[in-house]
Formats: sequence, C-alpha cells, structure tokens
Amino acid sequence: MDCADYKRWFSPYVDKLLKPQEHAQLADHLKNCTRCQTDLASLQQMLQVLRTMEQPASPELLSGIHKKLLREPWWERAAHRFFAPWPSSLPLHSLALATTTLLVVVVAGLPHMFQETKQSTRLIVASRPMEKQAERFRGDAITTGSFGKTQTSLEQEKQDGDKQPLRLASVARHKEAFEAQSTPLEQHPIGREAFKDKSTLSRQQDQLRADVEREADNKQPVQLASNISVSSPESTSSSTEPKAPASKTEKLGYGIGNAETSNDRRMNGVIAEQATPLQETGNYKQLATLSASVEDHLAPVNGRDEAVSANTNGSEGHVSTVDGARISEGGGAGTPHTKSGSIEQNGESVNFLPLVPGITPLPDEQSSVLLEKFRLKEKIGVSVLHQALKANQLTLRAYTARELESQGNESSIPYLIDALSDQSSHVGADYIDPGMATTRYWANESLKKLTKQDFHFVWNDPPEKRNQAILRWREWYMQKLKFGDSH
Amino acid sequence: MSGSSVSNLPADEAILIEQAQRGDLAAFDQLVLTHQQQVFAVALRMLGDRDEAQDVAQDVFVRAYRAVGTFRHEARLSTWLVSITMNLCRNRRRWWARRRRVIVASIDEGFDTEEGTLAQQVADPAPTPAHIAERREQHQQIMGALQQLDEAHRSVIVLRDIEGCSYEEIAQMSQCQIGTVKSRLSRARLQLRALLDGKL
Repeated sequence: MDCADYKRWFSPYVDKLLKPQEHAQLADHLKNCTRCQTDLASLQQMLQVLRTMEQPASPELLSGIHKKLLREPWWERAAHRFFAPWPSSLPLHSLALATTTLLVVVVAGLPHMFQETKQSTRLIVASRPMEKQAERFRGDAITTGSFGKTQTSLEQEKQDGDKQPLRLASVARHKEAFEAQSTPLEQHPIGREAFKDKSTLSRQQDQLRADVEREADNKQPVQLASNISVSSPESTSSSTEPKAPASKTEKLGYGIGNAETSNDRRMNGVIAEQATPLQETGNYKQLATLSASVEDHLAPVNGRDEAVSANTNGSEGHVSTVDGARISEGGGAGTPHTKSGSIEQNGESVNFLPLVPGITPLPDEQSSVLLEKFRLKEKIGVSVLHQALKANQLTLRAYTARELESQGNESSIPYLIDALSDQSSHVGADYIDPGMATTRYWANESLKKLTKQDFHFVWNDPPEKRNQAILRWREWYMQKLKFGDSH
Repeated sequence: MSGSSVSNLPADEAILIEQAQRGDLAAFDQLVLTHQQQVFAVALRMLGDRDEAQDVAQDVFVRAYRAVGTFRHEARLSTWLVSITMNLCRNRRRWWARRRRVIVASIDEGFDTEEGTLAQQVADPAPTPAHIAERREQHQQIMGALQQLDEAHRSVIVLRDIEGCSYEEIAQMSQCQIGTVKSRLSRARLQLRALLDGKL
C-alpha cells in the first residue's frame, strides 16, 4: 500500500471505524511517513473546525409556515386530511363512504329505472286508444253490475277455493301477471280507479259494505228473482218467490246466480219480464268503482249466475228475435237445450269483471235508432258500437259484435273480450251456425279478425270451457298491454 | 442530532406528534420550534444562502405538516425532517441550475448564532478582534469550500461533520448503504481538506 491508499483510511481512522488490524497497519505507516502525518493532522484540524462551527440562529419560521399552509388549495388540504390517520380523517372517510354508497345505489338502479320508464312509455302508448274511450265514458254512471260481480268475486274466491284448483291456478297466474304490471296499469284508464292505494281501497270497501249491509237490511226481503240479492225497493222482481230469510252473503250480492231460481223462472215461462237494474245509488256507484280492484279485475267469479251480465244490462229474461231466431237472454243455469242449439248453461259458470268497466248501457230509444241504422247499413261510430255492446237489447248486441268485425279497431278488443261473456242465447235460429245470432259468437269472430289470434273460444261450449278460453283472451290482452305488439 | 442510533422518540415529542397527526396545529408549532434550528442550519449549509435556507426550512415544515400522518415513528423526527430538508435543498439547487442562477453563498453576511453574532458568541475569555476576524474568515472559507463540493459529498460533510449525524442516520437520510456513506465521506473529507489546504 502506498500513501494514497492510506489516505483513504484517514476518514474511518478519525471516526474510529477501522478494524484493529487496519488501525495498527495505518499507525505503523504514519510512524514512518511524515507527509501522511501532516495530512492527517490537517484533516483532523479541519474536522475540528467544522465540529465547532456554531449553529446559525434560525429566523422566525412559524408565521411563514402558517401562511404557506393557508395558501394551500382546498383540495390539497382535503387530500391531506383524507390521507391523515384515522381520527382526523374519519369525517372525510365517512363522507367518501356515503358518497360511494350513493353512487353504487344510483348506478345499480339506473338500468332498472330506465327499463321501467321505457316500459311505462310503451304501455302508455299501447293504452292510448283505451284512454280515449275511457275519457269518453268518464263521468258516466257506473252500472250496478260491477258491484254485483265484484262482491261475488270476492266471496266466490273464499267459497270455492278448493273446488277448482285448475282454475284457481290460472287465476293466480293472472293475479301475478297483473301485479307484475301494476305500475303501468295505474296509468291505464281502466285501472285508474281500481289501482288506488289498496289500503284505502280496502277501508273504503269495508265502509261501503257496511253501508250496503245496513241498506240491505232495510230492504228485506231480498229479491232473488232478479238474481241480484241486493236490490232496491223499486226493482221489479220476477215471479220467483222471495227467499227469506236471505243470508248475509245474499244481502251483499254474493248470492247471485241461484240455479234453482233461474230454472224455476224459466219453467214458469217467465222470460219476457225485464228486471230493473240495481239502483245506481251513490253507495253502489262508489262500491262498483272501488270494486274494480286489480285482483278482481282478472279473477273469474265462479258459481255466479251467468245472468249477472244480463242483469247488468237490465235485460234479464229478455226475449227477442234475430233474423227469425228466437233469442232468450238471461239464460241462467239450467236453460233447456233446444233442437236449434240453444245454450245449455249449468250452474258451474264463471263470470269476469269487465276489462272496460263503467259503461252505461245504451238507452232503449237509442238502441232502436241504432238497430234501424244496422238495417239500413249505415255507418256507425266505433265508440257508439262499443256502448251498444252493452245495450239492453240482445239483438243489437249481436249485431254490434258482428259489425265490429269490420268497423272495429284495436280499441275494440277489450270490449269484445268482455262481450265473450255475453249470456244471450237463442232458440230456433236458422243459420248455418246457430251461434251466428249470438253476441259472443260474433265477439269471438271479430276478435279473431282484429287480433289474428285464436284461443279456441266456441260460443256453445260448456261454460267451463268457454271461461277457460275467455281467460286466455284476457291473459293475452294483459300481456299485450304490458309488452305491446312485440310480445 | 448526536445520537448514534435510531431511538424512540422522547415521550413529549411522541405526544406532540400524535396530536399533530390529529390536525392539532398548536402541537405541530411546538415541533417546529424544537427542530427549526437544525433544519435551518442544514438548509443554510447546503444552500449557502440565508433567504433560500429560510424559505426551504419553511417548506420543510409545511411538507412535514401535510405528511405527518404518514410518520410511523420508525426513525427520529429530526432524522425525518433533515431527510426532507436534504431533498428540498437538492430540488432547490436543481431549480437554480435550470435557471443558471449563480449561487453566491452569503458567507459575508455574518453568522448569527443562538446567542447572537459569531463575534459575540466566541467564548474566548478575552476575544480579541483579530481572533474574531480569524474565526469569521475560517467560517467563510469553509462555507465557500462546501459549496464547491458536489451534492452528495457536501451532504455527507454537513450531516456527519457539522450536524454530527451517525452513519446509519446519514444512510437513512440519503437512502443509501452505510458503506456508500463511508466511502463518500472519505472522499468528501479529502476533497474539502484539499480545498481548505493552507486556509485554516
């Protein structure tokens, strides 16, 4: 080693970091090298001076530091606080967590909201024709038939729960489908009344039921011959003897459709008598409106006399002829089967709440005018035709159903589906198909033409089978409302 | 900073740090008052300019306040602060270099000490004017020579021979190995001695 190498040991030598062997080796060299001794002494002197250098007094720094901290942009301060340890950063962390949660909820909910909006828009578009018609009929008196049907529907579900599991399953499907589309249907004029808050609806129904019950109690005996047990004092009963005491159910209108009563009436040849419709008292109107609830809207009413609709139209037992065919209406259970294909209707029948509730039957004087127009083959407005489907005169109803095959449009569909439940029957028709004098026959034909659909409704099928077909039509219509034509 | 190893913080300082970490500026001010002398001195040795050193020292504490939440007590606070100081001084010198600023050490301004000027502080029983002048000249020579060293060599001289840091601390502050510190220090001392040869 030479002096240059030993000079590199000077620094650790001064700091006493040399190994003992190195320290001894350097010491031996220093004994013999005066130059290295001088250099080491000089280094030690310099270091001594450096170490004894006094610390310069620091100027006042705090004010400057505070100013610089205040000049810090707010986002930098926030970032500083955010990345600080937990206690000081807790508020910011909480805020960040809340914001993130909100964002996640909003982002996760957006597609759903978008889908709902899209669906609602589609349904609004789909329901426009219905809305127009509902606007026309808004404010009209609500037929008492709605009341009877609804109440019967409610009771019938309780009574026949176990009897017809197949139909109940179908009804359950209807309910589910209807509930699934409840939101859009709220915008539909048909459901506008019915889709009121269910709790409010329930309360109002209870209240009205109590009112009706009280009213009914005051109107004993119940007029069973009219097939609607809640009848006003003014209502004209048929020849059937009053059945007293009437059960509570009957008082409330649940006992509609007593087969025995209908049979008796027919056997007595009492057909032409036209029953007076239920009085459209305020309570009845309200209840009829409220009764058009979601579930009831779709639920078939089992066991109810098919004459209900006839009663609704106020044409119980009405008899007329269509092109020579003898047509009887109000064909309740047990109508005799005639050679010309009159409809056999036993007690197991089902009725549906109308898809288009609250239609006032066409007044008789207008019905006559309309019948004349039919004969003269004059053009009749579609809205009038829809109203005529609920006319008291079954001839007019049958003509109307047939006319809608050519005159009808998409808005006619729910009216025609309702007309499938028309209970008019005929005797002695001379048609190729005796059903051609029947409203529901033409309603089905018109529906098939308008919709290009066929759910195998046969006008003279047993009621059970017909009702199944009607259910399919209604289900299809609800799906159409929900999904539009693309479905 | 004469400790030779990283030790636990003094209890009071640990409390102050904890309070500062919760955003207590008053506690942080206490820490500033404790360490501003050392930070400023290092900055002054490294930069050779009082105003720059003051500005950098303030920046050091601003940085420290912002980052005090990340301080994990793994080193002494002074070590951490000096480390920030070294980084900022390095950045400041680079900033100067980019702007071709000539660094003129303000060694002629006199050296204020904690007890007053250097002249007043020299504790000779009977400091003569000649003696005071000699010390001032020595001081100016050293500062001038220091500024001629490169960054790495100057920093090890300042930290080791002026501030009295241990090799381990210097290695921590400079983020290098102890062996590197040793070799750098050896070369830096020889260079500085060569620069000051015959002047001390």
